[in-house]
Amino acid sequence: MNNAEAKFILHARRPNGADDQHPTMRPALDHAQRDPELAAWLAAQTRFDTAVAAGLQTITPPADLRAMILTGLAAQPAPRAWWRSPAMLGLAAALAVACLLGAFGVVRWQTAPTTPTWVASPQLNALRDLARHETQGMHAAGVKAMMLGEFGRWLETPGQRLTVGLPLDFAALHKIGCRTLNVAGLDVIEICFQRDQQYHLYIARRSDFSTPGKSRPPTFAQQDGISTAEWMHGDLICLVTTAGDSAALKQIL
Amino acid sequence: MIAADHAHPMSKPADQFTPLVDAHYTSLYRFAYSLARRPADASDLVQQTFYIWATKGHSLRDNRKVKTWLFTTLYREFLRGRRRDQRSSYLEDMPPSAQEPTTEPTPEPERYDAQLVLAALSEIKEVFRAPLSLFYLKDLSYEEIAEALDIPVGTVMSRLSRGKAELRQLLAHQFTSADRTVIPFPAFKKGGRP
Repeated sequence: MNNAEAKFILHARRPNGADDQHPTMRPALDHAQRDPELAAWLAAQTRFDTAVAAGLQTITPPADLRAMILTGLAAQPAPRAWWRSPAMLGLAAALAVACLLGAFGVVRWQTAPTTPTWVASPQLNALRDLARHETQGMHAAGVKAMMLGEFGRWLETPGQRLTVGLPLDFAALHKIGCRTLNVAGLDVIEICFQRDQQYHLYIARRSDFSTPGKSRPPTFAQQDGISTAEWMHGDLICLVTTAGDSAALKQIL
Repeated sequence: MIAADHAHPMSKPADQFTPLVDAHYTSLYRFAYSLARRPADASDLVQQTFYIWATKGHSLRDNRKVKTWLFTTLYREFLRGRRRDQRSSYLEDMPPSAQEPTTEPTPEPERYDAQLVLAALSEIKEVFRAPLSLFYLKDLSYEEIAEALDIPVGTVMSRLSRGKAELRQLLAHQFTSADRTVIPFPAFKKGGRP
């Protein structure tokens, strides 16, 4: 962690110290203790935050607000039970009709199409190129795992295997702070994480590929001193890279 | 009785709301005031928030989430009343270097008075004002702020960093402006026109 990264995290530290034991905050505070320049910055920032917080505490609610809230709540009639609402009654009727039609074979469940076999894809090649360049340190666009809370800590836990338990929800990854890169028309999430060495993880939706493949176990490759592993996981195509041979990758998959 | 524990909040006696209202209405009002900037609007937002809790809060199974839920609801009600700031998207995309605080000399924080702080905070762009206000209320961690505003944790950190830089600049400007308004007038009266 460098000073810029530590400052970025420490901006979110409440001046009353309520976050000091948080797993993301603790390393940044430890770093500040070791670096006098950062320590001075943190002391000035804490003074500033304390002064501003004190200003906000002077906002006083109107004297009658509490009474108005409580009186208003007491005056409201109890709502109708959910199962008696018109919307729920309508839904129940629709379900009953659907069941009836289903019983007569009118409604047919369409089976999912079989997925085509995995083929070489220009989009996947573009992703592989990007991953190698990133791993060689030519660019740094990814979010660091330490910024991603519980999921980030999971990624950096020694012995944790990525092929087991990797979250499958692309939207959830966005919500916890992952950023999206556009690679040859693909939305790709990139996360940098650290175990015994640094890794870069890329996640894309299989459905975004023009030639999606079918699920398969991880495959390994090596080029220009960078090892990559690719695998499919539900609707996700995952690619992880690291410097050196593929032995380190095999340990985390 | 077990049934009473699962009854709808609206069917409970009003005094059962009292601990919840007492615990949160002041912080909610401060947050509402920092967003709406008018006491009457802030009061409306707080009342509306508790009303929604009373009608929908029964779906909240985790009591530890009540505080975050209330702040989320208040913020959504505020947004419902107005359009989002269209500038938010490009501000979020600014590179980290552009979000660093300026190094301009600023007054000692201890010299800020509350009115100055509130005036500066009210001038901050709304996209920063909401997370900054929640941060300075100190009720929520940055992860809870992310949840309350429905934005990623990294975005909260980014907005706090950028928002504090803007706040610091505004405070410095207002502080020096306040000083300037006091000094020149006696000088003019005493010496007359030059």
